[in-house]
Amino acid sequence: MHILCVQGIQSGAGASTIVANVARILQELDQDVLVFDLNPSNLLRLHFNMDWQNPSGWAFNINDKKPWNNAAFQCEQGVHFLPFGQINYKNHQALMNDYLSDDWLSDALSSLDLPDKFWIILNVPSELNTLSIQALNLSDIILRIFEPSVACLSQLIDSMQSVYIHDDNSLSNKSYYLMNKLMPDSEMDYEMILIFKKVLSNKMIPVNIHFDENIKEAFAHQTTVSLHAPNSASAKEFRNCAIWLISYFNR
Amino acid sequence: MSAINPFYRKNKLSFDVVLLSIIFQPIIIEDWLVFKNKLFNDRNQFYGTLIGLIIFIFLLFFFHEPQRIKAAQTLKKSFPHIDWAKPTFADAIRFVIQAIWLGTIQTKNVYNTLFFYKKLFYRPKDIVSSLFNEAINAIGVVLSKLEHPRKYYHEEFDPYVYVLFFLLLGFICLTVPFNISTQIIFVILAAFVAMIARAIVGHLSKLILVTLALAVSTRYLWWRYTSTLNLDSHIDVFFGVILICAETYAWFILLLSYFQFACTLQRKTVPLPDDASLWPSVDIFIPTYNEELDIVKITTLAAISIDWPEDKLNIFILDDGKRSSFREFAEQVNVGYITRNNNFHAKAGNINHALMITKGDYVAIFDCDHIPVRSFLQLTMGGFLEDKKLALIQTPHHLYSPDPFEHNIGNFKKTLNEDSWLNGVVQDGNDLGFCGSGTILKREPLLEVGGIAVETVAEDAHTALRLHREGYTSAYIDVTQAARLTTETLAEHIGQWILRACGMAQIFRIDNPLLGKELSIEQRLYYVNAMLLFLGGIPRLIFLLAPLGFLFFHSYLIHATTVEILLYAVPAIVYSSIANSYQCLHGKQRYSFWTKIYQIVLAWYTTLPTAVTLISPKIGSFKVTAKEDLTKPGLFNLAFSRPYLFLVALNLLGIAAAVYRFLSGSTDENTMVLIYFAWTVYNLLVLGGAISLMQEIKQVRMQHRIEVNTEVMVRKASGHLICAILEDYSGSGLGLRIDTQASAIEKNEKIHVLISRGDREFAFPARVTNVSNGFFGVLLENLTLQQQLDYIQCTYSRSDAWVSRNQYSTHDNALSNIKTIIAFCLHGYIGLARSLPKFITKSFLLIGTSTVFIKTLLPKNIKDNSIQYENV
Repeated sequence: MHILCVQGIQSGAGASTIVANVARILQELDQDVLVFDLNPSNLLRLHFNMDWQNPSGWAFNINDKKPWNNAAFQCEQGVHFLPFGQINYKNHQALMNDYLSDDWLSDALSSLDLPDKFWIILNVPSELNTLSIQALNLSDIILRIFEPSVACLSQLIDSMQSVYIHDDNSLSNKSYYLMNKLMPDSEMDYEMILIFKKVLSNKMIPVNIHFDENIKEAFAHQTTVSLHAPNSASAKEFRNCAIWLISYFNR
Repeated sequence: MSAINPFYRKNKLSFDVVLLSIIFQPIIIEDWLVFKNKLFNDRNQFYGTLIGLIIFIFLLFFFHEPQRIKAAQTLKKSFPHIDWAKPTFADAIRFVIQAIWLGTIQTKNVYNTLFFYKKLFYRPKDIVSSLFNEAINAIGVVLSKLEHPRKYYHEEFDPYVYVLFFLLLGFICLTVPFNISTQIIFVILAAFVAMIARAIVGHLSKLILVTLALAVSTRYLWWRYTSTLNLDSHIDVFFGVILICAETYAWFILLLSYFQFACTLQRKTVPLPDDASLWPSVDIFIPTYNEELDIVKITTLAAISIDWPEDKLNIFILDDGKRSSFREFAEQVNVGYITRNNNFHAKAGNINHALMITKGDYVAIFDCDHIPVRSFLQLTMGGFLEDKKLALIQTPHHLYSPDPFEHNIGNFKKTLNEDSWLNGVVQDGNDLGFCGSGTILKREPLLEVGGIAVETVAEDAHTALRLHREGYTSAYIDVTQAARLTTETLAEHIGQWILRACGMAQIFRIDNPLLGKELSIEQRLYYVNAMLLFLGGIPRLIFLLAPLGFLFFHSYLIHATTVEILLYAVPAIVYSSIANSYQCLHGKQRYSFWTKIYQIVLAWYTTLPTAVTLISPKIGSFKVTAKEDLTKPGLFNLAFSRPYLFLVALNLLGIAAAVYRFLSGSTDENTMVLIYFAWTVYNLLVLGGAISLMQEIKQVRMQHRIEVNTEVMVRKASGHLICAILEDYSGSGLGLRIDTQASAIEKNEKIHVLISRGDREFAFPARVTNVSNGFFGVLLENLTLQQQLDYIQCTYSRSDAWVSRNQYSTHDNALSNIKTIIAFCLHGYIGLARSLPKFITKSFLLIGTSTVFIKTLLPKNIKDNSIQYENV
């Protein structure tokens, strides 16, 4: 199994969008993909054309005293996904504090008993909680998403100095960084890129995702860019990103 | 009863009995005969049944679909020029011809089909070629061991002994007279050696080929001088002497070029020291007189983009036109702007004046249309720091627009242009020379020789000569780090050549490189070669007219029998062209036949001016005025080709004379007439090529588009990003290819084109001006100065901008080229016919269509692209 963690450095950096799009492209490249949404905002399902009203999800199921793995879906194009589910704050707290043991996620994933070449993409929220730390520890590679903004830079430096990345080499060694929402004619963006390059040096993957109207449109259509606008630059960038990931696992 | 039945004739065995007796015992055959006798009454019935059975099996195959499809495919492949859907009567003829062709000449396919790609036995041709390949491999191994001869070389030996020995041996080899049979053996042996040498890659085999060509042509010349001069009558002496002079001249050029090319230097770039403070300061001069600002702008911005410490790089526009727009531009981009009170000595004077004002250690000169890439200085300057005597570095001139000739040939990039050959390989061979642009000069030596030479019109070559005389050296680095435009019209182009030729002639009179001090023998030879190259027009004209001496005046130019002429002249011609063309002397850079045509076009125009200049150097530069009416679009350039039409007419008369002589002359002269006839036909072909070159098509675009193939992005005003392929660019616009199915971009839409360079990406505002079939022409609009600079850096000034310049050059494979050459030469006559009266044109059209029809009847080679099955 290839376990990939995608985490935004800051919420709103576009992690869910990238998870959905990259998963779709991997599927197009004949890989089997399961997307596991660990983000309580529960946005990922919308990229796969799930009904807006449907509250179903693994967390929702647990809350409802149903088996958590009964909430899996498969989109028309073949990507398997597990939405988080709509639960309120209280239930969420209860879930995090009471229900989830320290190795719940690894148990859950091994109980799925997936074939060897299966991709599991975990959509991890930028905030740290028991679940996201489990996910980060479990993963083979962490893809951290940032946009070239001062806020992201500050968060990035913060997180690099914070305990869980800084002290634990195993986490920082498998962390790679992907830039999102790049505006090609913004001077400011390029200034920021220079700083990010200096801070991250060789940890940035050689693909950038540009700010593209097509991405917004695709989301509004509850689909992914490669389906909505296959010729768009962002579809190509997601493809490059997916190919980079495949080669990362094949090296 | 039994006597009537043919099956009981024991004395004559039937076919089936023979076949069966190979495998079976006689007793079984007896049984078979009884069985056959019972079933069939007589022989005819038996064979009738057999044929019926075979047809039945074939029908079975036919209705068995996979078999049918396979058979249809084989047919289609074997007869590619027949339309099986609607065959015509002509297709029947084609079928027969192709079937004969496949059965006799191109047997490989039939063989493969019959034996299912299994190598059951070898065809004789395969055996020969595999033996040949084995031989080549073996010799190649031996030669590659000899490639580094130092290991086997005893240093106690005096090399002069070798030289003397080989000179003596060579003299004997070249002068010993052969009779016809020994000459035949010599030719065959030489052909064998040449075939092997051609197939082996490497410097040594190249040298073998050169030596061979040299030996054959020298033997030819020796033979001409010693046994073929005909001095019977005045007219014979006249024609004979002219021809042999021309031949000697051609041989001499060949000899010099062999010396030059036999050892190319292939100088590598020298790295600069890591400490940038040791890098010298460089001034870049961009002399201009009447060129447009747009052209100068690109060069200046590219010069600004050169990677070099900022305080050590000064750029100056040397404006002899004294235009205020240039001054403003120079101020905007913060480069120097130099003018002077007079315009003495044109470009040379302009540079000399600037030399007085500026003070960098080195001076790089770029003509205003000559665009350097950003790594220009970093790749070239290292040589100066290593070698203190080095005063001049020249880089190749890459021409990014087709010159008029190429334009007319229409095969730009397939055949490299002569100029880039001239500026390329010639200098790789000898490291001398200064081509006026794309050059870096060291200031001190340059001032020592009094700046750029102003006495001749070839100031570049003359300056280099003076530097050499002072003991300085020059170098040629073969890395394409700059590119320029070519002249637009034929008139300008010829004018440039005349100027160059005259300049060389002037140098020879004023400052003869053969005389005077401080030049090495190689340097002197280089200058002689360059000079002779420009004077080469006269012998070429003589060769074009020589056969007429016999055909018109019945003067024996070569006093020898037909067989002797064939045995001596043909190998000489063949070897020199093999040595010239096939990956031998000029690498992949010189295309022998094209060069010939090219030089014939120039021959007429350069001959007279150079000759006059040589006699009286003071007359100086000839100016060819580019008349407007010469370059009207689509018109046949009559005025320019008039001398060539005259030559064509003479040669046509020669053909008529040949026919007359063949019919009326004595029979023992007939073979000789045929030789001269063939020579005339060849001349006509070459002249056709020359005329074809001169049929000018007006070049429309002001700024030439440079073809590339890079990925870019387009951002629409709505914010959508689309992938695009950048196909070409110019100073003001881009050509993009976008998949139209998914993306709607309309004409006049404003977009941004995103081009990346290194890590950075730039957005250039542009407007779509032209939409056709997935191709979008866009015009850059409202670029700020910074954006213009970025644009130049993303396009012209990329370090790898011209790296692909050799990717189109393929081998000058003489045989595969012959078809195109003949087609091209005939094309000249077709163009000529177009300007004739209508009723003649019509008959030409008839000839044309009938030739096209006949061509379709000819057998076609089958290109087998399918996977070959190896027999494991």
